[in-house]
Amino acid sequence: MKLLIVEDDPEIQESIMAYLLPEGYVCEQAFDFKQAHDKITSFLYDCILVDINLPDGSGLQLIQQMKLLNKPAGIIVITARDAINDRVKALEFGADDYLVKPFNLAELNARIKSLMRRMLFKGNNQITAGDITIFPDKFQAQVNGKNLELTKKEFELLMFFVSNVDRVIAKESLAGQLWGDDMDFSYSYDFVYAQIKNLRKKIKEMGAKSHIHTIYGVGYKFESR
Amino acid sequence: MKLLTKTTLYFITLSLLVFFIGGIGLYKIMQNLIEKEVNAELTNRIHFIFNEFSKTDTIQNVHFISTEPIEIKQVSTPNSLSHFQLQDTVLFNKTRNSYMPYRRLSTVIKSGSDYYRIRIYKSLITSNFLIEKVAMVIMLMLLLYLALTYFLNRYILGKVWADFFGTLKIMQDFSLENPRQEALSSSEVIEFNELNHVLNKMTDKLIHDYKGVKEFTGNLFHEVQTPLSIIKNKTELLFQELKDEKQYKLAGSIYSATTRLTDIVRSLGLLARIDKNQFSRKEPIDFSRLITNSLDNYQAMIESKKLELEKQIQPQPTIVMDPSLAEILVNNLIKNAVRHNIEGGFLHILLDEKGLEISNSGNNPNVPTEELFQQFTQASGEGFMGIGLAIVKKIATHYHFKITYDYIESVHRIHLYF
Repeated sequence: MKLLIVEDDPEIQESIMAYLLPEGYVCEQAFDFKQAHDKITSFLYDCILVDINLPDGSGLQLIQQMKLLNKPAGIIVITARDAINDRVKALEFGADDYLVKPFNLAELNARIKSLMRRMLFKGNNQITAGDITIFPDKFQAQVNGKNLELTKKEFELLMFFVSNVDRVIAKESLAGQLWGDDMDFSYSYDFVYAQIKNLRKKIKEMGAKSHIHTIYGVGYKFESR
Repeated sequence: MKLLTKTTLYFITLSLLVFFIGGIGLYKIMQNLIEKEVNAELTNRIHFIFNEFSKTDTIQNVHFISTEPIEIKQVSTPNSLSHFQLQDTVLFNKTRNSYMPYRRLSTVIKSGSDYYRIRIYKSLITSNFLIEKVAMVIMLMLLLYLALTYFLNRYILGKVWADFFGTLKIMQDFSLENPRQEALSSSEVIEFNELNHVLNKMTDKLIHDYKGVKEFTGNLFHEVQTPLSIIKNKTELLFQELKDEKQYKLAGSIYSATTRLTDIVRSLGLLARIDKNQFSRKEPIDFSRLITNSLDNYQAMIESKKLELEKQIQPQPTIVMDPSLAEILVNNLIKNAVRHNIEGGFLHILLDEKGLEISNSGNNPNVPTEELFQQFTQASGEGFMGIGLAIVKKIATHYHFKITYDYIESVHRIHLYF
């Protein structure tokens, strides 16, 4: 799986790379419009991550260029919070998804995976993590072939964990994932605790070996075993 | 009260007062003058009678033609010999069949050994009539004068204050969001010129400052995103490297604080964007659906707190507003009611055509409820309240919805009136 990351800030570039590399992707970097343009015209990528604000041009133009060149890559745009118009335009130009800055890496990872699944398997896919299997398109999860009865939120949570196996995920990231990151959720995480408690109980009742491990002071880690 | 109305009112009141006092004075003076004149005439006539009498020496022989009544009567005691007594009286007029006002002069005269009382009269009808007519003419003149000055006053005032009203109009239309750079015109009146000058300076400063603040906040929101992203992402990466619980706690605190900072920046940015009218989509909103979605979001929390949920949805009005703002509005209200609820409490939601009412159990906020709508209010026991309600208030104000917050007998009640 080949990824191109178009982002002008080297620190953010490095963070994204560091988080995505263990997933087994081949990542390439572009720090400005020109570099990115050269790369998309010369090579093929499965997924392109584009920051809209580039020092020498707009990420929107890149998207247009990609569509003109008929490149099959999935496109995820990164926009500033107040740039609603950019977001709308990006989606109109053919971007597949967007992330708002500042985003968390676990979410970025989950979005890329979800997009790749949609593009590569076109609906007939399943994700397996340890003894848990998820059928994203059917909103179904199984433990050792037995159906797991989950609420919508619990399912979303499990999806997020399964997309970030063996990663430590902050409770704040989970809250943003569950309820959207629009509002001031950081002050009370009892919402998250309540959901995790239920999900954990359900998985355990089915006799799964995989489990959600609590990391005190930070959040949780899903271990597939 | 309008400037013109007030000046006119003052003018009329004062004029009427002056006219009233002047009128009374004038009347008194005229009455006095006429009385003197009548007295003089009566005295004149009595002297004439005396004159005649001294020639004839007998009262019976005193005959004179008089257009005015005269009374001669023999009296026994001359208590007021050749003393003139003047007074007002009435006499019965046969032709008119009514009493008429007269001025009477009475005196006693000695004819031989007899005493006679002589009373001569002067009709006051003509003089009263005169006073009346003169007063009327003067009144008319005054009224005419009043009317004339009234209109003249208004006209002049209007002319003089025209520049002021022009300034006022421009200032009323002034909006910081969309300032017209049109300077206030100069006036012939020095004071107004000075006023315009001061106002021009003030608005220029206001516009300049406002632009500065807007630019600053805009830049801040924008510039802060990248460093925040870096801290956030690096901490996430750090999480994956750590093994020790103590280190996790440290890194976790950094991440929490960064998320909090991100939320504050986002919320303030949202407030600024509402102000800047960046949410201008207009769509009919299905509040019932928004409420259901929002409750779904917090289902786990409602269950874990064992809240008794009651939802009353009645035929709702069609409210046209920005859909994302409507969602934020409903979400924040419900989130607030769930989060600050107590174990085993209740949550009641009532939606009808007049508005949305959310009431819930909860602890005493210990601050006036109105203050809970302000940014960064610290409610006791709950820690930092955040700006969720400030955003609610901002959205409500933006769409001219009235919103109230009561805390009565352990029940928090927020009512939003469409």
